[in-house]
Amino acid sequence: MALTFNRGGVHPSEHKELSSHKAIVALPPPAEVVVHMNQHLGRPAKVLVKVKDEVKVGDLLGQAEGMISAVVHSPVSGIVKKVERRMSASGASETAVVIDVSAEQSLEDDKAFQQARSLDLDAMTPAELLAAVKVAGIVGQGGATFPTHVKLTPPADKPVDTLLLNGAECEPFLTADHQLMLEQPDAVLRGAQVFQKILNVASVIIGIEANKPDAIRLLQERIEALKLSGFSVAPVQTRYPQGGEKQLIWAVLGREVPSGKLPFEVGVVVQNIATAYAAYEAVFHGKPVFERVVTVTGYVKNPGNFRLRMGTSFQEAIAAAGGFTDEARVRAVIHGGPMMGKSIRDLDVTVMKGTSGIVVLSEDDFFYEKEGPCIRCGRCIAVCPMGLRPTELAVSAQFEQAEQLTDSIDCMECGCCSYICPTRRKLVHWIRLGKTVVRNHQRSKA
Amino acid sequence: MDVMLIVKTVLSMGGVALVAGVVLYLAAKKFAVFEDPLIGEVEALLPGVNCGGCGQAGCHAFAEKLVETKDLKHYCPVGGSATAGEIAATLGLEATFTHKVVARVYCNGGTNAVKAGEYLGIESCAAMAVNNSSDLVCTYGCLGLADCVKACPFDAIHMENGVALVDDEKCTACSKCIVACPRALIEMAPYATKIYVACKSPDPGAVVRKYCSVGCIGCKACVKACEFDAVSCEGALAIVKPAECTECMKCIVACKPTTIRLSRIAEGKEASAHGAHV
Repeated sequence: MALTFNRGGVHPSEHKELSSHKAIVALPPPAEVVVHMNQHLGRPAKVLVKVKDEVKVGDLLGQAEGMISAVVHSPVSGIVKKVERRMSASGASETAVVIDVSAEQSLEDDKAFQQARSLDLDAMTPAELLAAVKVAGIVGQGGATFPTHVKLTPPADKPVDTLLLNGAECEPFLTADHQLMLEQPDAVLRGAQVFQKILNVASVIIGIEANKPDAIRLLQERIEALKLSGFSVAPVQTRYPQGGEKQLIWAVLGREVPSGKLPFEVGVVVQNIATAYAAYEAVFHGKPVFERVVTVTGYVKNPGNFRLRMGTSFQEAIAAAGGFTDEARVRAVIHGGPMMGKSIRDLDVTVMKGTSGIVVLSEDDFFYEKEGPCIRCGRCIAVCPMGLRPTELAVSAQFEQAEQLTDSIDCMECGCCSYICPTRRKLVHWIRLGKTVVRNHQRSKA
Repeated sequence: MDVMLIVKTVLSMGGVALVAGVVLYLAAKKFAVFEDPLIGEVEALLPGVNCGGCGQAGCHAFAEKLVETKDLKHYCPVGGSATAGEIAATLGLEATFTHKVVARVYCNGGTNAVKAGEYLGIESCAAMAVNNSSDLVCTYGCLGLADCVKACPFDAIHMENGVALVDDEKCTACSKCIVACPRALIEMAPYATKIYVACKSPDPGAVVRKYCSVGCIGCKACVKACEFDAVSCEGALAIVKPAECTECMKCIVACKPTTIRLSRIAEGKEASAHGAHV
């Protein structure tokens, strides 16, 4: 019996075969990039450039503002065309820098980051490494985009003993992390070593879902070959949401993160595989985060894994995957995976640091039925990995009963309840609304 | 025999009633709570809808507050200045004149605004605004799912052409719609000034033009047309200042995207100015 989390969960059809084991293809720089200043959780970065400024690959475009924020770098070389509000993949209109790209110059300037520096990790202090992570603008690349340097700074009273590397990739369709582990196992492990050194922890465990046996085997081999002490791979059951932070901690370590608390509470820091890779590039190549691996899949002619620069439009990403199979039958384009991702309404939105996938759904995959009444079957309660009662939260949200909604803060919106509901109740949407009801209630009381 | 039974019954029940009556009388005297008769008088003057627009729990609570504080800053927006005057007379205070205000929706997008994609979520503006999941391209405009209409206790706000519109005559300024609007598009405006700029988008004109045919593009034609300095333009959004506005209708005629409009049409010149757009 493989390791898994303690309650709930579902197993949607994976569809990973569409893009798995397809080599990562680097795309040539697009003609124009739109780089948003809020690619991370927390306060948006402050724009540092003006219109007509010349920028080079890796130049700073935005400065971090406040405690929880991250810097933003230029993914290309070119000339700043505009600084204005543009719709981002999150659907909000946010400040963005539009750059007219010089393709040859970009490829030329890329070379500065291609050569790995010979570096002795042991000779570097944790503070130096943390600074390198911070200036590279690394954020959690699993999708939550929490600034990594903040996550690597646990409060003094909460000792951390384990670093968990999240390679579960439990969302259907997505294969970006899987492919990254297969192509760059050493780099991922080196990145994890950087985190290990910063946190000063002995134990590093890599959690990988059992549907990626080749990645599990390869990483085990590389750990032995590189003689990394304290490293181990933990195969976990293929079950959504295995890659949820709290779920993975339970599955691998059997520790339960208390309600409303962070993993620090149980002495764990969880980082994504792709984030570890970014840390490797930042430390060994001096390369800031300006590109990432994105799975473009679903109803496209040639699904695959692509290395895309931030600010590349979805239109271009989909074109790279051969375009829509039949544009007339496309029903939705999703930013992220189909369970937690968000359907976008404009193909001009661009790739961000948290874009793990672009999933195109056709009429055949897309299922919509009007919301029916709750039939009290209790399936949403059975599948909720957080042990909540989604149906009751939904009703409380509908009637704005803030007192009944206190549990809703534990909901991570994984979508298991909406997925399983036989009457197609929009449970996650209601609970999301419920969270705003709670916030408004607290504000009115204050 | 039967007569005695009746007499006994009447006497015993009457006795119980007498004793209970005396006890109740004494208890009422002992535990009496004094309530200012003014509270009842003031409450009688109020509309009695218990809408909460004044900020109190209902009309009785509002009347208590007024009598307790004797301060006319506590104002019933539903009753308006007429009620305020009567209350002032009852409380023996001098009535301060208060302008009537009404709610106003600063958007005329609706069917004029561009939609992208298809919204399949819960039928409510609040739900649509969560996580920016609306199908409206404009990130400032009316979402059109009528949360304000559902919130209005006076049937004073309705959806017209996909956008909320306030009926100035029915509106009592209770503020319920203002609270309900997740995009904060509804504000209080003086009833007397009918002219307003029905847009809240600060985006530059070129951007607005792409998603709405009636959005303010910041062309400043209204500013130039106004002879009374009543229209200003902050960034790319015009604002009509009610205090200076004389309702000469020149800005309405000058406004090419027909963003500036009237909340209600009363007279000939207003009707013709409005007609200039058609």
